[in-house]
Amino acid sequence: MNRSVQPFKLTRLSTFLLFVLMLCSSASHAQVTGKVLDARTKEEIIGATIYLSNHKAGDVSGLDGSYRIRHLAAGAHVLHVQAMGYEKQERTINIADSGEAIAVNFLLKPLATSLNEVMVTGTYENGSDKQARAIEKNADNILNVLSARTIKLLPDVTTAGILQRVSAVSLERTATGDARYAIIRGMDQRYNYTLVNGIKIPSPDNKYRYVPMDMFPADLLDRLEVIKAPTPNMEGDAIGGAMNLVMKNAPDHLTINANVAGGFSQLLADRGYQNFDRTVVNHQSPADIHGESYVATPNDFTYKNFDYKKRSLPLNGLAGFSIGDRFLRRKQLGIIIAGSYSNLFRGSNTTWLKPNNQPAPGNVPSFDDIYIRQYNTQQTRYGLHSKIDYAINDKNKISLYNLFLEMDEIQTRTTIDTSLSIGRSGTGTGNTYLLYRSRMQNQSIYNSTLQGEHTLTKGLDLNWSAVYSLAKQTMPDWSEYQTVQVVGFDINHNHVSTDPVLNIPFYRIWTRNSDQDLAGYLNLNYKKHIGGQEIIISAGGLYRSKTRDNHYNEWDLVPKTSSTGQPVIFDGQLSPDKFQFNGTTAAQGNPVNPLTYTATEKITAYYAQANIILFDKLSILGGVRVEHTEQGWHTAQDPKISYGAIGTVPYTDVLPSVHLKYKLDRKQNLRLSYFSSINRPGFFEYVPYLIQDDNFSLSGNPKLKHTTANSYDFRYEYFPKAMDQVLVGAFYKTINNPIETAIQFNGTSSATLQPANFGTATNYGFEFAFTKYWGHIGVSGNYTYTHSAITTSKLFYDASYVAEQTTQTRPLQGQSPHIANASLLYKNPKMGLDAQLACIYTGRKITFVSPYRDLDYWQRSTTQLDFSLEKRVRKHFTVYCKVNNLLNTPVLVEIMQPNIYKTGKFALPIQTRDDRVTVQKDYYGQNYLLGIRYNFTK
Amino acid sequence: MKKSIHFIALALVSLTVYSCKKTKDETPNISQPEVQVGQTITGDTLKGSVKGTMVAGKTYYFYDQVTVNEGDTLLMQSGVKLLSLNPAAQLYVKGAFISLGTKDHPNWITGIDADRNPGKYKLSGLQDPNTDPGLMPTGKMWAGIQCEKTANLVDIKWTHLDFAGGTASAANPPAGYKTGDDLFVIKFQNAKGYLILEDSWIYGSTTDAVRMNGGMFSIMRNTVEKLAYNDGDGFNVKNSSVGDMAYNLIVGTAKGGTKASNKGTYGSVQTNVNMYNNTYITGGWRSVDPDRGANVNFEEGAKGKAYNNIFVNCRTGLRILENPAADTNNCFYGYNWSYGDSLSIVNQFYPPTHATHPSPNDIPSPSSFYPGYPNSFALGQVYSAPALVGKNNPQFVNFPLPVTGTLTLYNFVGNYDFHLASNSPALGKGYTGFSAIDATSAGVSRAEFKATVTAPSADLGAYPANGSGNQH
Repeated sequence: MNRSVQPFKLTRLSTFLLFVLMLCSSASHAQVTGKVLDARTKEEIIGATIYLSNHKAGDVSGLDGSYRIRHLAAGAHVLHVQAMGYEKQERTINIADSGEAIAVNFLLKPLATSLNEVMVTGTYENGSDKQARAIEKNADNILNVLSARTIKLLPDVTTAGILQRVSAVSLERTATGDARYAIIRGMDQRYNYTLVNGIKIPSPDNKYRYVPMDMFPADLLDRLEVIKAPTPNMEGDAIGGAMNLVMKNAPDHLTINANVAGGFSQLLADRGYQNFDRTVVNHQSPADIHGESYVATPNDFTYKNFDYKKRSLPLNGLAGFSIGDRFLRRKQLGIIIAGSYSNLFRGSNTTWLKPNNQPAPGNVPSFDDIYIRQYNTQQTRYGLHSKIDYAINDKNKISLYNLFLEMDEIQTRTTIDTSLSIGRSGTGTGNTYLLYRSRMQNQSIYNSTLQGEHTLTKGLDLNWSAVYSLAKQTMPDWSEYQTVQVVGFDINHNHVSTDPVLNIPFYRIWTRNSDQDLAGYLNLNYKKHIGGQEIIISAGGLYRSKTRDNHYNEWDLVPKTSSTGQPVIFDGQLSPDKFQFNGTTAAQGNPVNPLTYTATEKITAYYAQANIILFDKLSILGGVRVEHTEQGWHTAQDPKISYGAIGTVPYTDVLPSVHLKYKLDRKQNLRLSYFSSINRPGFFEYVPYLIQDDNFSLSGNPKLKHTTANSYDFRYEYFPKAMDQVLVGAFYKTINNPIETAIQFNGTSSATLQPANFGTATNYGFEFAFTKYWGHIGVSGNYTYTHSAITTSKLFYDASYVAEQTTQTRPLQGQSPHIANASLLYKNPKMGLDAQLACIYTGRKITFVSPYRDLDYWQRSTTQLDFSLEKRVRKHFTVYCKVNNLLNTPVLVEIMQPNIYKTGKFALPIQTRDDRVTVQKDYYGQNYLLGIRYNFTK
Repeated sequence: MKKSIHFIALALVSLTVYSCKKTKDETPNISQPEVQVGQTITGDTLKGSVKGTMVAGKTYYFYDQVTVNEGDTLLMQSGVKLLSLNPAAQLYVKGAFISLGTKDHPNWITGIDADRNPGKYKLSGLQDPNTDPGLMPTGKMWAGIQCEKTANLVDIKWTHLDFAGGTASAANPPAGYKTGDDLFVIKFQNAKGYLILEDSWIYGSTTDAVRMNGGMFSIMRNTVEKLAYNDGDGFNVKNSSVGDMAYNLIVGTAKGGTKASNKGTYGSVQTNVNMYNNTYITGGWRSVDPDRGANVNFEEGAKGKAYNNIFVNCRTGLRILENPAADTNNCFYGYNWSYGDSLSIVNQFYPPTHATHPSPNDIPSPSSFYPGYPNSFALGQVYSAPALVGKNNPQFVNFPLPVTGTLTLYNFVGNYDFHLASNSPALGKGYTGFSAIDATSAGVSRAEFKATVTAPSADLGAYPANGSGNQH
């Protein structure tokens, strides 16, 4: 790949910090303007270099192919034009003395080697926007693509952040405001899966199978595809869709990329940061060290993980590196290695009003506690990716891909918990608990894929993959202790407080889990021309064996009472002599519990599909996929005694799909899709434990059925120019047996919260996405409307103090009716300047489903604004900056019921409205990042 | 040729349509517990699943979880001892468990060591809880009576339940527990079932002595002491529990004595508990929570009556919760006698911050110390009543008031006698214009099993002068 040299003088970065300046262009005489177009297709060519023979002036064609050279002296000039993949051209122009502007368009001929259709698409720079548009346009099914170029420019550093820029995608956030799980078209994270280079990867989560998307550093990506209508050759558990992370491939020439950046969080700059030393944490629990039957004592635990060290302004650091080239005589061997490192300090301040699970009579929301919390988090991510590909000959290629990702997090959470139910006589009084939680979490994903592509005979291709993946998570010594005191008034109305004492419990939890996948994929493609029409017939299969291993141990330390039988006043120093265990099994770390289990999943799938193009206009891709699943589990309980300690659930699904694409013309497509898909229950959802929670029993459900769905999609696409697009689509899904956790009634007298199937839900909506450039300025946006409805069982706590069984219809959890993205872009290839102001609007959505009717928690709609900018400063160097969450948008969660808590003895903080009760308000603050990127291509 | 491709296209679409709705439903294969038919008791050791009768006067042993299957009944005749050889020994009741001790021939379920050396374990002096077998974790000798939702009857009369508790086993934690959770002495959770506990004794526990999540009950004339190390109540009933707690002597609980809540209710039954003629001594002091430690508690959505009780040196007085509120319109109380040896105790007779409405018939009379009473006063107000310290001694037959030494360690009965002396001012001060709920008689009518319900008495506390109350 041949990068054009930019022989022009640089201007100071600061000049360009504001868009408004860029909009100003002084009217000038003696200029030449025009467009550079493809001679054959008449498409605009972006990034063509136009320069004078003397190299004193020039330009690079913009996003609509236009260029302008100003301040030309009168007389003859020779204009040279060159662009990658095209023959060079030159033309002589004459500038009159009057200094008039003249227009000259260039029609460049593609290079002879580029005439082959496959090669044309191949000449798109890997990771370019243009390539992304071409993939969307040429795909046989419905998908959205973000290019590495777009990704680089986005204000996000993780793949999760990037995903929310895709049409119809919204994200679930963590307590520190990081986007983590993707919701596609209003379908909860459980209905979507994640692919790396087309290979499904397991999750390090201990309960669910969906992958935390913030584990993936953005800079390893070549492009990101969100597939909304899977074809038969793709796995069928994508009711919402699938995310395919396509990692960087070996380039044709030696390419070196490196970047380093630093930044900080405004919130931490304002209030400081504190955390514990990660080296004091015992990675092994007492049971790991001494065996499961070991009876621990308080001396077996460290207390140093509560020594918090303060820092005034911790600095974030990011670094990335990649090097790739092709070797040997015919460049048969390609190698790319990329690494990524980031160390981020995050914080959040939250206020949470803990609703009493059971409302007041009349089903009125009622509250237990006010939690005021500060989170401090340090996240360290490592990513390493390598791909080696070798073309044995024209017909046989093999590649080996390896990916390792790790995210280590340490987090402190300090809580001031004011009880509303105990000792409360008004604002500023009540039982007050101070809670300190120290948590360390290490997650990793390893994937190794060996792939082969073979041309067997003319028209018959075979490809295969052999995959090993391992996803792991450990949370060693996740612990929280608390003190309690009551704050009130004395007889003289002076504020008084009792001395703090250690409260119950002080938990210490070690949990670890791993998910190992062994998988094989085989695909055959047969291409034939029949009667001038092309037909591709494909068939193939997949076998995957997944083994999940979960361990959970919890030790609950109980504070010791004094010799007079009263609680001991806490002196602020934690030490083992202050605690004991209530019994032998408690001191053994609760070895039998629902989170200790092994689970397996064996999937055998095969498919046949055909892709036919009729009359050059209509492409039909259709076929059937069959997936046979066998899920199984084995808990730590004794199957002779406990119901469902062992279980297997086999089922088979036949999943047809058909995708029609009709080319209205070269730039417009109409698409129509139908596909059938499934969702498998999480392993944890089957395991039949029963725990008495505060109000209800919690239980798994071994009789859970998997979810099946039928989806219909329609899309109109218009690609007026290389970088521009308009997409309009609609979708309709019926979901059978959706899985929701809700209240279940066992007989007439007891109620349990458990995952269960709920009839049929529907989900429909429409999407609109567009990108339009005018010279250097672009606007890109998307909007999705989604409507979903599900009816589940609920309770209604009536005025006579009894709870009746009832039902409620509501949207699916996590689904926002309105999602919109809007970006204002400025791209000036000549100056090497890119800037973007990006806005995300996420409409209201349910974040927690209450067991009681109409008391679900709704997150209020949010608007987040982010800014990013990059500027080439020298040959090979680019400076960039990213500002996240410019508006410091709070997250507000509400119960949509009349607010009786604005005044009175039980008045609550953060209340602003009469028609709803605010239950949560979180702030994350802005994040700033400034970095430099190095890019070298031979 | 064109035709053939059209045919293929058509075939493709029809195949797709045809294969819709072909999904085969799962047929899960879920492990079933081994059905172990309840074996009639033959030898002297209970193990596995048992049913039938433990015959009068005999001693039996158990060392592990012993199950009473659904539909089966395990019955102890009078004078039976069931001794634990191992702290994991447990009665796991899915059917019915009945213990018919008598006044002359009570039954015992306890540890074998405690049975052989009672003096070593049942200490009758002021004892550091950390070295007191009744309260220490290592003093727990068996793992209680744990009932599943299917248990239809637990009927315990004249039975000692000593040194039970500990934490849930690894092998088979009963429903509602996970391994390592604190065990109640009795856990009952069948809203359609019956629990009768009368004339019995509970000595020591890890947490609550009796925890109900639903059920109809009669808890009368029991003596309980040294309950919970620092986190537990005496009798604690929640969602849809209905019955009486009366004539109980409750000494030295970590937190509350008797407690009712309507939390987590489902169905047509509101928690409704009458707590009357109980005597509460030195309750609430070991609680780490500064506000919990009351004698009588009506919490979230519960209703009932609380009359004729005696409260002596309890950390907190009668609590009627305001948020989440008890069913305050249907909580009726009064004629309760409070005594305190310290200012902090007397200032909690009507606990500040709670919705307890002082009753004109309480002793001491609120008009003597409660600011603004009866005309204009604030519920839950802070007050100070030093004049009440040491006043209104109920005059027990044998209990030192004011106490000598460390008040908080008077958590046992020992040789004390909480009968009212003949000169006691608490005689005849009570209210009898209400009756027991008597929630079990309709369902448990067979004479030997039926609860003996003692009506309210005008003599306060558990020991009315006519001898109809607590028999211990």
